[in-house]
Amino acid sequence: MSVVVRKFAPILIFAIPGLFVVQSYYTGWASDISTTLISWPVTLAAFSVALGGATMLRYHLVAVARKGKGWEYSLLTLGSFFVVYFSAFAWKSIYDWVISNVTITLQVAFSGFFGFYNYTLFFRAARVRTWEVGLLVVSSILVMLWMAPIGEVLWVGFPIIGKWINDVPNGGTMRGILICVAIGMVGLFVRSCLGYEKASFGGE
Amino acid sequence: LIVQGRLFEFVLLIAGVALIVFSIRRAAGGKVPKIRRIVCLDALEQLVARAAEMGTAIHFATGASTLDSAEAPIIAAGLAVLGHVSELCGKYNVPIRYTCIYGYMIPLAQDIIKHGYAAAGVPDRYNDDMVVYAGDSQISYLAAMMGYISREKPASSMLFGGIKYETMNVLGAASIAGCMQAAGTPRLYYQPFLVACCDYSMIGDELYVAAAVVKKIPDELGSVQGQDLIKMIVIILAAVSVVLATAGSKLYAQLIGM
Repeated sequence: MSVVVRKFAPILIFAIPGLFVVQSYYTGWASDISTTLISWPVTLAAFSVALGGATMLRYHLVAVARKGKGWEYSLLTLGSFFVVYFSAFAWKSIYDWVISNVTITLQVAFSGFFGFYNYTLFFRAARVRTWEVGLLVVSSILVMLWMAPIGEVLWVGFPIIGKWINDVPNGGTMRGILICVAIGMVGLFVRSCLGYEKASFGGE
Repeated sequence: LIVQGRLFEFVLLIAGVALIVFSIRRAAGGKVPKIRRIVCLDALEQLVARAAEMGTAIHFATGASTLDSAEAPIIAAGLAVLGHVSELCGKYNVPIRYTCIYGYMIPLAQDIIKHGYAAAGVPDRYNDDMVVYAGDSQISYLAAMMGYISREKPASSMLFGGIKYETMNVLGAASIAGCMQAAGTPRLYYQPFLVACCDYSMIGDELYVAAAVVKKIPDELGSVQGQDLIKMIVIILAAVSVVLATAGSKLYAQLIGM
């Protein structure tokens, strides 16, 4: 592949459909094609699961072969992978049993664990390093006292202050940040179309 | 020609794109704008140097957002930071671990990290295992990151991109493990967590300009100036609309409805 093709092909593949979708949004012309174009990446992404599976297999096979730290877990991962993968084709009853009794159970257990973990995490991880963070923490507490029924029981002023923080400074700031984010997105799109931004195409 | 109700925003978009292109051309012509320092970007070297001193790896992630959604530009911006951090890792001889959730991110990340090490003059330090696939599930993704951080205790952890529910868990695990943390996202709901839990953070559109700022390429710096010009226009439009609405005029509402 020539250098020109290697350099410009990814930019064209990115820019032409991108500009087509933009024109379709504003003019309404060929909106069905635009919808199809938007759905393509989802289809392409589905194929990448195979790539992920291959990478995972290589990683854990190497780990088992080298017998490094924690290689037993790699063996367990490989065993689980092959059992689920082949049972999906050959032993449907085993596959259904694994999904219902192992996968879903583990997922629910993890979700429960992460939920409770999150409740306490903010208090463990947050550090008031600057006065801005101090302001954030105080605002968060006031908004929580507005949201939680106990706030009004403690003092009738908490719901009023909390609601004002949420509606006025928070609402205004969020809109301001949203506008900046949207402008930043336009800037990134223009830079990508002009070929300056190549990160999403891999290395330069 | 233009769909009803979208003419005004279309004109704004065209004006914005024209301003960005004009600023890029102006910077390419030698009038390079001065861009304020983004403290978080400057601090990335400090985070990598800390890992070098402690003899551990750097943990990096770009979040659970996908490249096939409207959040793709955020991931692209996060990957640009990954390229910069990889180069720093090459410079300080520090291994990097990138945990990815989607299969299609593997070759992308491998290529970016490989080029980062090559740019630092140490291509042999790179290996494919620096990119770890955690399965196409957010639960496995955050479990993989939390497990790695808890077990290996990397000196620094970085989270730049389209971060989602995994944010608090990863920040918390890294905080408990004593990692120095830097993170950035334009996603509104996660910005307070970053500010409260990280040593350095990027909010708003800072992540979008990060790539342009770290590379210090005049043309790209010009695009950042173009974005600032659009912001000024938006501020003026907002101020004018407030005055018009207060005076009872419906002109602004009619303009938006065109």
